[in-house]
Amino acid sequence: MSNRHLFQQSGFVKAPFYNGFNRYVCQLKRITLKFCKEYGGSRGLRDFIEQNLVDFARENPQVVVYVKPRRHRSPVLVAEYLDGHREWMSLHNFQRDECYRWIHNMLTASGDQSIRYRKLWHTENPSIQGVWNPFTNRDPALNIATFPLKDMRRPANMPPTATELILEMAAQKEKMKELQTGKTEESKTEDSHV
Amino acid sequence: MSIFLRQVIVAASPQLHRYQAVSCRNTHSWLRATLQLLKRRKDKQDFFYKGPPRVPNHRNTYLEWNYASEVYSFGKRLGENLDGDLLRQALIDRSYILQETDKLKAVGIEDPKFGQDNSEMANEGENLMSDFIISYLRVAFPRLPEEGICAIRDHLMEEETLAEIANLLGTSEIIMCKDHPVENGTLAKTLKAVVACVSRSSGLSRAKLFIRDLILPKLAGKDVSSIWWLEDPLTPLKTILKNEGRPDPEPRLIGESAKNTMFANFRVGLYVNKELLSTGSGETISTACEIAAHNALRSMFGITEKDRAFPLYFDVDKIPSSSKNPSLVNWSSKLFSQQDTKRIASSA
Repeated sequence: MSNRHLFQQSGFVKAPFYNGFNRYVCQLKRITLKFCKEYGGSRGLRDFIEQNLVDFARENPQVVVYVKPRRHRSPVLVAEYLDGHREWMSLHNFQRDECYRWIHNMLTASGDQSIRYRKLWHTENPSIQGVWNPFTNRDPALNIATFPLKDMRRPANMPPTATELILEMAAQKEKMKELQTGKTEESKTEDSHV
Repeated sequence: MSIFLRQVIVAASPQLHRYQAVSCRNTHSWLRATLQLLKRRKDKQDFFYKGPPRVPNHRNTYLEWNYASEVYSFGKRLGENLDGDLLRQALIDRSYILQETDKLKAVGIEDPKFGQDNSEMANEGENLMSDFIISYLRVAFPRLPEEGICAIRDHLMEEETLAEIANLLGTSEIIMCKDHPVENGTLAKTLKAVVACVSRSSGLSRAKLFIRDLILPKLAGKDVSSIWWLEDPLTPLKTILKNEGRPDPEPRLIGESAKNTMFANFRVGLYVNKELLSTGSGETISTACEIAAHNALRSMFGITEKDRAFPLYFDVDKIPSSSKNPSLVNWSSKLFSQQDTKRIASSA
């Protein structure tokens, strides 16, 4: 984003009135080509008018084309769109193919495009599973629990404290002792049998 | 000076980024100062201005204006082959004829003769639109009660909605009428007349396609509950359960959080025969109850959040025009086939 776009309105990609859902409506309604018959700056536009304009108008009957010669002025293109947007563009010193491309660019554009896109995509359904609420993915066991719950007092991922570790070690030692003494008792009883 | 100012204004207009990207490397230092001066002058003028609101000139006052071409290209823009005379008639409002008659009378012509205005065509188009939209909606929402269907139809046929569509099709500049800028009523009336014009020029099925393609997309991605909202949903829910031979729903609190705070939040489930019918959340228990009843009705009628993809692809010639949907009082899920019920249940 450059400095120039800081004050530009921002928004998302959108089609004017669901255009193209079923039927495509060309958004360019009118195009005015102003040029000079003598000056060199209009050379490219003059060539375009001579060689391409009739075909352009025939292929796009939905666009009204106005051609306006004016003496000793620089060539200009004015495109008017269905949303009321009017785009002015100078074609000074443009070649014929440059004029052709810009005019086709205006033809396929959809009106006011002077917004800064926040994202290059847009969706009406950002979440598939729905909006989060306090009861989403909640354990059903909590519905009948009586609070305060002892287990819920401590953080979920808290590591054991040093005291707890020592107590656990002590408990393990006790267990081992019990097992050993149990074994010795068993062996004693076996001996007596023999 | 005027040429200089025009250059300034042109260079300053925000649409010119593309042009500037091609031929302009930087912004001149005088631009800011000049724009500031212009704005200050305009503000000063606006402050002392006490006349009627300023409106931009009508497009037909410009030098580059050819009404015949404009009307022709309007027809082509819609993708229709329209009869020129009919289209021109569809674009003439009653107010225009009255205005012109007055003008001629002032000159001295007592009985001027004009063509017909679009009132008759607008009536025809309105009936056509209303009938087709309602039969299309019945197919698109087979489980929605007739009340809901009528509410959606009324929403689509509202003056504002039609005016918006007519405006975006470029009608506002070529309507022959007295008011400028064109009022919503005139725009809506003209769109109806255009529908009648399509019907008369290329047949009824083309007119139906026109409505399907250009007016019904307004419903795409829209939640039906935002158009049709029942004030007291528990009463119709009880009626429907009665029709199905089931007892009244029993609301139970199944969750609460942040009680006695600003963000109090309750969750209520509606149970019928100890089976969960629907759930709803709200800031009080009664609102949560209401929302739960709403959710139950929505999943019954097939208009949940997930059913927002409005079908725009039906064949217009195969849409039946007679069969009505059941009304809210007679509604029962037994009226629909098992397969349909399963589809609705899986989507809910």
